[in-house]
Amino acid sequence: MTSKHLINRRTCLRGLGASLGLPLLETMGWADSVKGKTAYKPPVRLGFMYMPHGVIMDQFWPKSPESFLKSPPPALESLRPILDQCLMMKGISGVPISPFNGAPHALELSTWLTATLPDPAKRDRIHIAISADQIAANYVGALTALPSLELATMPQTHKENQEGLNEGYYSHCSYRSPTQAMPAEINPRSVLNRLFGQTGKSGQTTVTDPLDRQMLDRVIGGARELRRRLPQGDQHKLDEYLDSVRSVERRIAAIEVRQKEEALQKAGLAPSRHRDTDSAPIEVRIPEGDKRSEYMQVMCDLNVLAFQTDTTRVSTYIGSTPNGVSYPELGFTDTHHSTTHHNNQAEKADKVAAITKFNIDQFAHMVKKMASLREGDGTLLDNCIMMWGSGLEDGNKHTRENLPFIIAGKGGGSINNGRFLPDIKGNQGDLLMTLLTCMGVPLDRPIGIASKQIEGMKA
Amino acid sequence: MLDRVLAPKGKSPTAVQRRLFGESPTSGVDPREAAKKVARSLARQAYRRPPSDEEIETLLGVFDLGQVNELGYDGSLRLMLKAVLVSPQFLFITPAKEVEKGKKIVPLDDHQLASRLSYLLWATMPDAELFALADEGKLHEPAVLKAQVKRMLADPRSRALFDGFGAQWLGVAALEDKTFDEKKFPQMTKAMRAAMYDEARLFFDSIVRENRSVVSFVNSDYTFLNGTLAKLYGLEKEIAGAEMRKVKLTDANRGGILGMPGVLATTSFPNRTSAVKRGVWVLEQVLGEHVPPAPANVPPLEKQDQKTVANLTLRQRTELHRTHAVCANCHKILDPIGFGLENFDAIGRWREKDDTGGAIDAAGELPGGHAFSSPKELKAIIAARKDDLARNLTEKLMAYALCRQLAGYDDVVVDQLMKTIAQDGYRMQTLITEVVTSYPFLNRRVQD
Repeated sequence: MTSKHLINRRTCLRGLGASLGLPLLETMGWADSVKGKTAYKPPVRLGFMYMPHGVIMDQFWPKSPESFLKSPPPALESLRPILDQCLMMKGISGVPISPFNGAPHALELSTWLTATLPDPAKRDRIHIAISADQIAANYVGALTALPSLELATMPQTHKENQEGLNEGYYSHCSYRSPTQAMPAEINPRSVLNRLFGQTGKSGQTTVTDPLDRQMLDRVIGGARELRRRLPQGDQHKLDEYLDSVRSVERRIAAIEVRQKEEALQKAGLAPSRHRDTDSAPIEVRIPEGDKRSEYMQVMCDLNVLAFQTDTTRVSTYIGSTPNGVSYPELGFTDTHHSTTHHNNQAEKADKVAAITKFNIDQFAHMVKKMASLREGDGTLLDNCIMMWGSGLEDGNKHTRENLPFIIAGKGGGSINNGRFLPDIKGNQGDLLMTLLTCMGVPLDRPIGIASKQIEGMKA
Repeated sequence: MLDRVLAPKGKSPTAVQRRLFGESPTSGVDPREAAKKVARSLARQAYRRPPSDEEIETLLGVFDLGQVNELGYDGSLRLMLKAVLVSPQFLFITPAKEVEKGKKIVPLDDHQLASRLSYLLWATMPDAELFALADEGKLHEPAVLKAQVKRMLADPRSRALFDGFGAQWLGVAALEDKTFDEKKFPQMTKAMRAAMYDEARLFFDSIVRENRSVVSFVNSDYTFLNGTLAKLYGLEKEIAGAEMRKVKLTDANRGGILGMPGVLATTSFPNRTSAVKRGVWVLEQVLGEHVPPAPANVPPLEKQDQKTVANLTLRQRTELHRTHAVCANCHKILDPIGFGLENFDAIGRWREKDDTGGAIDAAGELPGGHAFSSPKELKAIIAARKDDLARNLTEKLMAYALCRQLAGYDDVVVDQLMKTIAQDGYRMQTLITEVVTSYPFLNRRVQD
């Protein structure tokens, strides 16, 4: 009944999952295009990276569409080499936060990928909406060993309840269902384990127990009878648990598909999707010290590796959360939040600009690496949609009329980038919906406050 | 994990294996029948109740799966054991039977009760005695239940009540990971943090085991120290060595959770004390009052205009916000409590002067006109609020026992418990027994 015990017993399940690791880098194929002998097209991957509290506007927004590539704004300096593969748009508004006006920071992160407000009647619990990354994971997740990857820099334990909102809203952006926030990994070693199993080295084949999947199937089947005995609330809890069992089952299924495909390729019955010209999986080195930049870069590298090896196609990285984070590496220890209430004092605004640039630099590290890796006829970045952004525009005034974000990658040719579109009229839901469409995810209903696609960004 | 406890194929079985699976069936015995027996015993232990026929069928289905795939008898049992361990019945406390239609609230069956009780006091599965009483259907009888609580609290496993509940209540669970300014407090080593935790644990245990009044949490004349921790008490001459031992205290400012270094440290900032945090802690964790969160965008002390506050003590600086009407409303209650503990620094050492060199002013007054001038006097005022102390602890323990926040309708139940607890002199075992024999603990809601 204590949390310690839950963890212990859950470890059993995780232990089972961990022994299932990821095989087959050498002969890796893309599970969804086994069917014909058509030339392969790498899948589109979708990644999000977050920074709270907004930006210093004149340091972030390009002066004009014409100047975007030639003289980009200072915050984007590190992206300069690949700016032609980036897209910026001004005029995407966030979700209006009334009736939660006193909780801007709980909502900047939790509405970022949901474009939805928490249910005011159930504000003390998690009750929001499935997030865009998880909608994508529902569609493509079954094709990879992990449906999605959730990363964060800070532990998700911040306790603050402004406007009576559940504290989970301060540190979670990804929601599996309206009531279930996705926990994020903060330890690079655990991420590596989750991606490649406990033996750890990428490329290593771990043998899976072929009967595990059928065994799990029977356990899930047997739980139906148990479900009848439970009251409604407990049924939800059981369903959440079974969902996690099912995701283990799915991982095994994905691995089986790959193994089958490998056999077919060996027998010459299916085209190999791996080209000789494709880059080898990158090396990830976990740093010893506790320098923030090194830490964030290894998390970014893990994201690159996960996409490169097609271990997952959907990721979120909460690079920072709205809870008193500071950046000693930049030469000052003021917390991010307190500097953003700068009241236009130059000294404080400079600090915010430095923090923003620091965060974008880490994002640039990730997408530049992706751009350097060959995949198919182009680069890994060509087949990705990577979005960096914040849930506020101006942290000083908590405004969210023009959410700051940068999109990198061509999304497999679906996005027309290298541009700055200064006057897009749309909202956060429209943006998320368009990104999913570019990824090829069909939608049966709008995301949050969305009302349309943003045609202007498409190729 | 299974590889660690089970022998590989072809090797002779390990002790664990023999205990879980029994002996392999001899020839002539139907292996499926033998496996059925194993399934019953495995499920009974892991689900902590007799399994239903359907549950046994599910497990046998897994056994069959192994047989069809030629895993052999042991291999098929291994697969079955895996299935038991990933089953939700292992993770959750589940009922054995369906409830009658139309009922809203039903009593826990005896096996559920055994699990609920066992995880509350021991944080592990019921032992043979609890199991046997549940099998006989006797556990829910009040006299039996009370006797079991007594037996279980005397057992060393009841340490789990502190690790799971007490440490959370006192906040000392956070000590291990809390950041302290290394330059200012080099004393906060791993050993020191562990000693602080152990002090709180042994103190809590002594009140539970010796069945003392809840008032002794606030007002006691003893504690538990080792050489490391004794330095914070200024008792390093008297006490040496790593081992924790019971120590009689002569300084009335100490003794009880308000003067306990672990508590004082968790309610401080990394580099200084916080009267506000300590005040909130006492009100919420000790007296059970609700303190609303601060409004958004209040600058921390460090952000005050440095020139105007240069010559003020921490107390004087903190008091500035009480000139603001919005702040004053709450802080006029919070702050005096925290100031009353200002003689203890951010890691719980006694001091006469604060960081600015100004003399500590530990005087204050609580609403209702109770004035105090030292931690000792503050302690006495709080210790006198027996009803509040006991009610708070009852409510916190009840929420922990039920794994949910208490709601308005629980008030009636708590009111009832408080009568018995007060009559018995607010003793800790009575408090625990009352929670365990309360209506919400013995029943469960099956319909909203």
